[in-house]
Amino acid sequence: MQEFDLILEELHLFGGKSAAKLSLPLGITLGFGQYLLASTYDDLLPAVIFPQALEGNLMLSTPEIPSDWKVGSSLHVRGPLGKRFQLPAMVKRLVCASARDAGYLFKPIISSALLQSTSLVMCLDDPVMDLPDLVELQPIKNLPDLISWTDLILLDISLNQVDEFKLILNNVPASLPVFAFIHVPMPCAGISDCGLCAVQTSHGIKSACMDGPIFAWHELRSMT
Amino acid sequence: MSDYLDLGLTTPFMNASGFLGFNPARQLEKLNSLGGWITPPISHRRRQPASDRAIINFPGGVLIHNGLPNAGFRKVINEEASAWRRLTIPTWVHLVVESPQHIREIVSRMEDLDSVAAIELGLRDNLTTEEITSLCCAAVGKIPLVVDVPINWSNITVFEKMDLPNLLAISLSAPRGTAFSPAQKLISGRLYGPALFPQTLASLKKALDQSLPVILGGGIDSYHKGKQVLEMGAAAVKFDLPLWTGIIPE
Repeated sequence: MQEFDLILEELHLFGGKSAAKLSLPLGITLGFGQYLLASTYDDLLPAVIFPQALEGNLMLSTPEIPSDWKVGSSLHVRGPLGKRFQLPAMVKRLVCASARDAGYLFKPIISSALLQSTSLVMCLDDPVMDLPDLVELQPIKNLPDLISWTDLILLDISLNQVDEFKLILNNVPASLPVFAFIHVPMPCAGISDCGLCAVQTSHGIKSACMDGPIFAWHELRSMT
Repeated sequence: MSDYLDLGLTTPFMNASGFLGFNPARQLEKLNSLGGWITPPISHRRRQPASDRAIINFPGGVLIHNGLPNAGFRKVINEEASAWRRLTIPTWVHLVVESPQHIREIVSRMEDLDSVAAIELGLRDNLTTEEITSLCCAAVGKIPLVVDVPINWSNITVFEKMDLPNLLAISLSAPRGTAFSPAQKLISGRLYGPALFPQTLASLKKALDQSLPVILGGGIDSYHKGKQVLEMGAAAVKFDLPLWTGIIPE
């Protein structure tokens, strides 16, 4: 993890929400699943910044940045944080399901999937994002029907949606890899072992900020 | 008037308990303004994160409810105490107050280590004077004791009357509050942020009427505010949320 200061160069609107365009210092690269923690001088807590697009050292965030950030804002940034997830080359049929937002988080994995000629179905209930023509769109209620078709499922859910998706995916065979991007407040990014991002797994309690935020679905335990 | 040197600190600035981890060596390299550090809360037995843990924003502050998760004092000591010895600034261990017996057991174990410079005893609200006395007496020993109470603690003079031989200072910390979560559930926890600063100043004025040194936390989000309260008479200052943003303005 490194710490650096940046100026917010551009803001882009997606579905009425702002995304930040940032020039990262040389040598800083983020993989899918990784994030930055950024604050202005006025922020009480740092904001978690996920990439939706990366080109060279330019990063466009998902549209989830604080509403009071402005072009020209000075940001103190920590990162990259979190575990990198790489799409296995053997995956030929991929399902991505986002129950949390419009799926911008999946943009980097969509690019990777299309590069390796993987067929891709996005399950979204709020499809505001422009998807490439090659990506099939389905509502989340159809997710169980795709289990027999896909080689891998990626979920984008909040921690409190784990139980709901355990029910939706109750007939997933143990041989099918499923991974979940778990969204939960991560204010300290491992600095203080604060426990706010604790996730119950078969290996005990893990921190989403350091051990995730992507977890193997079969290791996740019920939140109740 | 006491200052940070009387407390064994190398500067008057510290972290509030819970805002640095159990082994903050990497953070302390960057936070060279800190003259001592305080561990996260440590209990007798393991504590899991609260099932309804939450961080809730309100104007000028945040409420944090995490259940004070930690592995229990034995495991924390086994895994972390050797690293504390290598730090260049003193380590203060913050204890979650449970019972006098547990405090006595933990303090005895801490006395076997040479890496603990002080014990900060986190006293919760609504304790009777008898309970406070019993808990503090259980922490009497070779290691200097700091009693940690919320800034809205009403009984601030109780400690100097106890005449405890190892009582080093009073530490004023985040008060408790209750807020609605985004799901409209009432959550209670500790309050942090600059909105608390006027209350913090009021509590310092009151605490300076007694004779023990005062360490002040709660809403201090810049070195400027820190220096203001040091000039008022605080012996040291504790930062909280700025340690998470990584920004402590001058």
